Amino acid sequence: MPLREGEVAPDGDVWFRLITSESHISRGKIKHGAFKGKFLGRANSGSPYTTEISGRLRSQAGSIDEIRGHAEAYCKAKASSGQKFAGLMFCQKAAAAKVFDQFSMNVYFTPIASGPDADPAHSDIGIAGPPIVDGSPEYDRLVIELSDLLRGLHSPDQIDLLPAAIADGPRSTETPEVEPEPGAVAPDSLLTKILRFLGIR
Amino acid sequence: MGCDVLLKDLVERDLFQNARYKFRVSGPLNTIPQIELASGHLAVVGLGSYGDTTSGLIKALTGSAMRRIGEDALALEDDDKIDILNLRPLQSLHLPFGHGSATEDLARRVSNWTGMLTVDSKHELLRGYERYSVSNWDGDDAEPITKETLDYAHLVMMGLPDNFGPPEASPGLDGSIALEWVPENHNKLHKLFLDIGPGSAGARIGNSVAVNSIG
Repeated sequence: MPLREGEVAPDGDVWFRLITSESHISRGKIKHGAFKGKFLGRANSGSPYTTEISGRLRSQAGSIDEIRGHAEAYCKAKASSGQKFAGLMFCQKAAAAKVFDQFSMNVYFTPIASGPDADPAHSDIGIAGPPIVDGSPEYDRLVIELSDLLRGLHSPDQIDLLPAAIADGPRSTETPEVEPEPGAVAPDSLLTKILRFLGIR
Repeated sequence: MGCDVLLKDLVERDLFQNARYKFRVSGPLNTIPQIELASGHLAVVGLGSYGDTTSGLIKALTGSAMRRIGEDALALEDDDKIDILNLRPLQSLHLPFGHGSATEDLARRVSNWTGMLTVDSKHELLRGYERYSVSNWDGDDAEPITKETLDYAHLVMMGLPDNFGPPEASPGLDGSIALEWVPENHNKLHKLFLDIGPGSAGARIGNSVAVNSIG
């Protein structure tokens, strides 16, 4: 089933975002100067989250060549002083879906149909919880999370290393855990299958 | 006593938060201490033991004799005028100074020492940051890093302790300069971020996590 607007991305998907300053990537990690200014956006009312980080969804963005072409076109259209496509920051959706302190973070599919920023692969990392004010303890906490979460790839040499989305992965966080009906047989866990294969169970 | 104490002390004393460094001297650690004057305090910070060089320098600056009160601590002869912190391995000694003729006299004497000292190589981390002085330098509405912020960053860099090695620097999208230490050995320090600016906002130590067992 195709992903619909506003849905949580499948666990196997990958969120990524353009980087236009080489100074923000170091040893595969993102320096926290990249998380300042307008990096964090205020989500629209009605969103399930209060703070958002705009990016793209790997499963919707096409091939690596298409991703590279989109990034180069973006830089050409937006940059005022010869900026270039410096790289990408990215994370696995499954790693981004987490709860910390009073915040809940996840990756949402939020395509933009029209306008100068139209992007059918647009996606937000959405953070639900109280609004995050720059310089607050909550902001510091989020920066730590993002610093741990996001990885960086230099352009042009490393863009090919952007992980592919695993198609039709589960959407574990959008479906609440449900207790099995009494008497129902729970599916075998991997451990159970291994033990059975070894003749232990 | 670990470096967590030092960072806490620096924050409490506003040395990194709101202070504007008026004078400073920097030199190779273990030989000549770094000296900073801020918020009415003179701070002498060095990694080595306080020896004759430090004692002589402080005497030259303050006109007061020093006496050793412990392995790594010195005190002015007049104990009422001094606040001593005995920190290992990064030692810090704060001398309260007011503003006025005494401070001006101190500045003059500090200036006389600068010709003998070595410029700190930490400035290299900020090489080329002038290119971020224009708005939208990232193509996505980044704020410019002003000359004031960059100048202040140079001052802060020269006064930073070396315990965690050199920081990495990056231009903040809000016009700040973001320093961070992310050592490979997480047993000592997970991450330490220090943001400078934007503008004249001074510096802010944030995201200091589990700083202990240093030294």
